[in-house]
Amino acid sequence: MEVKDVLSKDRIIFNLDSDTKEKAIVELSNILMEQGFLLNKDEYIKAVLQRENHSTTGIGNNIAIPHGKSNSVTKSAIVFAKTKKDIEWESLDEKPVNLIFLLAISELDQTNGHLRLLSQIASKLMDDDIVLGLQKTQTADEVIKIFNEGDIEL
Amino acid sequence: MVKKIGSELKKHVLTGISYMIPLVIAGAVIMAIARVGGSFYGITDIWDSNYAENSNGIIKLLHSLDGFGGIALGLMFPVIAAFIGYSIADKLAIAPALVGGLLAKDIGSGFLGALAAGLIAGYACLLIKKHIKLPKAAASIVPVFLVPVLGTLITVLLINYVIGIPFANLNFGLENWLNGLSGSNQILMAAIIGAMVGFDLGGPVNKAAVTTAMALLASGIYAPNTAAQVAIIIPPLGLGLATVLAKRKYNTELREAGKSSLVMGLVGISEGAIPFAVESPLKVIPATVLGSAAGGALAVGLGSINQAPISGFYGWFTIIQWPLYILSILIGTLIVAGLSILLRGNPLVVEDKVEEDDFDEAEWEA
Amino acid sequence: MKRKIIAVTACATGVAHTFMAASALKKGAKLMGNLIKVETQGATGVENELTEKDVNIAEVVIFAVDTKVRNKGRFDGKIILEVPVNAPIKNAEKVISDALRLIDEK
Repeated sequence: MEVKDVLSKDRIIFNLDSDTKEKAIVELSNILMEQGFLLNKDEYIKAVLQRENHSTTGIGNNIAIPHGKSNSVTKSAIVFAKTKKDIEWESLDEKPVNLIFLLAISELDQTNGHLRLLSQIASKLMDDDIVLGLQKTQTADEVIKIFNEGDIEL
Repeated sequence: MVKKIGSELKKHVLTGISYMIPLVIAGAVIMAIARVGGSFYGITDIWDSNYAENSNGIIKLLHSLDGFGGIALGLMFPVIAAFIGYSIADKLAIAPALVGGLLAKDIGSGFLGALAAGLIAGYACLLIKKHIKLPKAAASIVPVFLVPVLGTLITVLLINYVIGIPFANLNFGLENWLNGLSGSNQILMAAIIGAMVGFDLGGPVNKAAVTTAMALLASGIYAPNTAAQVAIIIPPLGLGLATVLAKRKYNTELREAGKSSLVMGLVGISEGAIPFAVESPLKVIPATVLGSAAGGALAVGLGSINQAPISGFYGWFTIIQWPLYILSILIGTLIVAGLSILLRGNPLVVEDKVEEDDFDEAEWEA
Repeated sequence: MKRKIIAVTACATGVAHTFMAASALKKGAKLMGNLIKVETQGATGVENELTEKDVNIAEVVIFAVDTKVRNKGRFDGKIILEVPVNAPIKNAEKVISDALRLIDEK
């Protein structure tokens, strides 16, 4: 199991245009839909927004990790985006967001390695060095490399 | 396609290195203990067989330890070959590669020869397994008989008759050439010797330069030896220093290798730099060549003279003009460290700081 | 003397915040020079499960949770600080010192 199994190059976007949290979530969900990870886009977006209402996913350091768990997700996956403009996300540290990790979590693969991988990627975002590295990335390969180098083993 | 083959090869070689590193560390540290111990008795050639029968039990033990360390280091080449083979063709390739690696060592083809042995054995076994199809009843002959025998034969024959000849010739030609050079411009020669020593780190080019330099000692020519001894320890010290200065650019394994490389450098073993040279030769070898060349030329140019074939720190104080000698080592080390860090590029490799593994269970329960 | 703490993290989805909170607590404890063991109760099940021995050793328990803690009975009789799972992600050192203050002021 490798990072690219959940975060592949075609789901890493630079220069996302959206200027609000909602628009960004919709925009990135479109990508998941196009790539066949969602059976029902609206249902998935609803799950993500519900999670946002529960408490913010802006974890500080200009990062947000919106996520939705729904049986309309066929396979767990991540979309990563860097935004052109800073987006307000009511973050824990009150800073705006420019790095977004949208997680699609399938109800079907509860014990499967994908979830574990998602968890490991999320916990890596607590590492300041990783965040610093992500802010510097300019290509999809570099993003994947950052998560790979940190010894994600399964 | 070419890129894919390249990354495949790199993966196999890295697997080999990872199995080899523990041996290098064991061997180098045991040897270091022996050599440092010997220096307390004023002995600078503890490996000399005279000490096997010394009346002092400790000296005898130190002599044996040096030998034991040597056994571990001697296994480097068979082991790296064996596990390169293993990485390519699984356990089938271990036997042929082991034999090929040992042969490469015996004929003096150094670590490049060992790499070749591992790769040849691995791919030979893979090809035999894939392409020789026997009727079902006899199929089990392939893995138990054909692969070991044919694989080993192919490997040893290629190493001995194809790979071995150019290396041996290289060795011989270089010795002649160096002998002719020694009368001319000393500093230039020192730089060339330094460059050769830094080029393949214990391989044939390095050994040609070092053995020639040592041979010239007998005739009272000290400059080549001075250059060579300075140049021997600059690559391991410089690369070790690089892993300390630019931690981010090296993975955990190489950082560990960096530490042992520093130790090996101090006791005068240039093989400490090999893991780095194998991992990314194009980024490391230019740095070690330039650093060793500069260090060698400086030491000779500044007039320091090393009359003994010793490069480790325990020999430094017997050197004429030793402060300048150490200065030359320092400058060469800094060149290697600086250049190799520079050539390695941006530290995009951000590593997880070990957070989970360093939990001290004993402290918790105390 | 290093202080000894145990914690349980859990969030609604059980994929992201549970593990970020665990990682933040470990980092925070390390920076403060304390020892911490963190059990994660996520979608992949319970990991790094705290043993009875761990519970005995620890001075204080932190629950950084948005959901019910599974198998809560283990911690009966211990002093527990319960905070939202976001709290350590925001400031783990504060959560840890709050927990330690609970016992120090007792």
